[in-house]
Amino acid sequence: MDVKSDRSFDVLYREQADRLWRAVFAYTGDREVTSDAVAEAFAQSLRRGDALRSPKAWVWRAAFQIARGEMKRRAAVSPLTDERSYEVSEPAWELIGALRSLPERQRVVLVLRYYAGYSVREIAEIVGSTAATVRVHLSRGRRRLRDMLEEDDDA
Amino acid sequence: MPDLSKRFQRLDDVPVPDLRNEIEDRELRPASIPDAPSTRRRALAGLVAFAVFAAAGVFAWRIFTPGEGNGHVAATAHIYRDPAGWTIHVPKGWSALPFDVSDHADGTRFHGVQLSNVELPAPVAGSGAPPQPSGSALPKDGVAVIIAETSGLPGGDEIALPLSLDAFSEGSAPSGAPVLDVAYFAAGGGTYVSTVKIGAHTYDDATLRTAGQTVASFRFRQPSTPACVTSQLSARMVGSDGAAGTLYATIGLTNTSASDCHLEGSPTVEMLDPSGAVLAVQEQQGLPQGPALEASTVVLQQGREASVVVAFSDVNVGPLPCLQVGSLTITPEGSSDALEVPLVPGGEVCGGTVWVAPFAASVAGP
Repeated sequence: MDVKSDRSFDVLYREQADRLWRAVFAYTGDREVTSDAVAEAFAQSLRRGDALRSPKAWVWRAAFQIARGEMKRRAAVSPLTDERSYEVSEPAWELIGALRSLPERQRVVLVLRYYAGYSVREIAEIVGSTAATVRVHLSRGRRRLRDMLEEDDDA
Repeated sequence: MPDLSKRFQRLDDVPVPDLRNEIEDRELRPASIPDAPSTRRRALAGLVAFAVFAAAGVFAWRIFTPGEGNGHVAATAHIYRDPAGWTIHVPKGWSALPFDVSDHADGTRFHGVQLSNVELPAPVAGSGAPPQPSGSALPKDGVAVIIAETSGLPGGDEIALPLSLDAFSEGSAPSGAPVLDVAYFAAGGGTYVSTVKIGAHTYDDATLRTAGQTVASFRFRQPSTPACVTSQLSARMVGSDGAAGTLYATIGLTNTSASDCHLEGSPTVEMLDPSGAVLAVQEQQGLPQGPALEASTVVLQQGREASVVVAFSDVNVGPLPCLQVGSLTITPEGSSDALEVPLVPGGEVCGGTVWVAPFAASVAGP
């Protein structure tokens, strides 16, 4: 990696890593899968170097795709646990728990919209779908998530 | 009602590990630059090259000899044409092996072609994994690109065409192991999977560029099926969603006939009021926001569904009055009759315009 790429990577990591990690964590609920996916996405972006036109978009897309594949693989081998990490606050874990009961596509678009702040079009690019489909998932997911969080608030 | 933005802000309290060392370790794992060959290794490489050259000669003689095909197609052919109607470029010096394999675990079938820079046996598929050369078959300097139509996979998670290797999902690979990229996509009404497997000693920019150009050359040609007519189709409202004053309705069209057919471009859409009277709205191609949508041809096999998104403003911002909408009619190109779909839940159209997107291959949704 040359000096220019090195600096670009540092900037990319500094600006994106924390937010990306938390977004993927909200999606997976699993620290190990999250760290694996985020590290692998950044490593792959490094390997590709200047060939990436938009490293930020690429690394977000790659991290979610890798996490998704890993979640599928692990689910086939052994059920994922619901054990709460002691480092995660109760309100954050409550949200992650509610997200985990949503279908995968609804979960990912909600995290990208409400935590990462991406537009519908940007989400469509990240998840490899169309804006119309993203809007449908957002609408359904939003409704279901609000219902679940309302139930928790009432309890 | 919970404020979702505030709820999500609580994630900012979650501590994040520093992954820099892990990333550096991972970046170095694939051996992108093979060791410089020694004289002995050069001699061995020469022998291997001669053997490959000789084998290629025998191989080429066999594939051009009538009645003696071994499944591979000519290495000199530049385009592989699949009977299903798609094509892909074959890099110079590569061979193409059409295959039809099944995953014995769940019965999923994969039909397609394996392109490779070395001659390989047919790919394997198993335990939910997509088709790929077995680890023992692919040499460390081997590269294989697979395109296969498949069944039994969920819709909605496909990448868009044209294929880009950047959009593929790459599995993590331990040092010395081949790297596997995978992507699912929709084409011609079917679901496809593409896998790219690269041996550890050839994981470099040149190989990635060749593999990337190869997958990007995938094209689905005009179908040989007739255009779908209304009598072959049933319609349903898949869902509707409002955003920034625009209502998006997704309508699914299913081929209920016993034969395959195709839908092309965008349908003609009319809006009816609750009493069934046609509303005076003007149809526009595309959607009010987002990039221009390319019209495509969707082949609908028996029982398969295509979708179309219809959008209209439901907020009164101009001089035209808003009108109550009871249902929509959809008329595919080439059909004279329309399919009527109730708008659920109902709504109003304001501004006098309805936008209609092109048909899409599948209806995504949970």
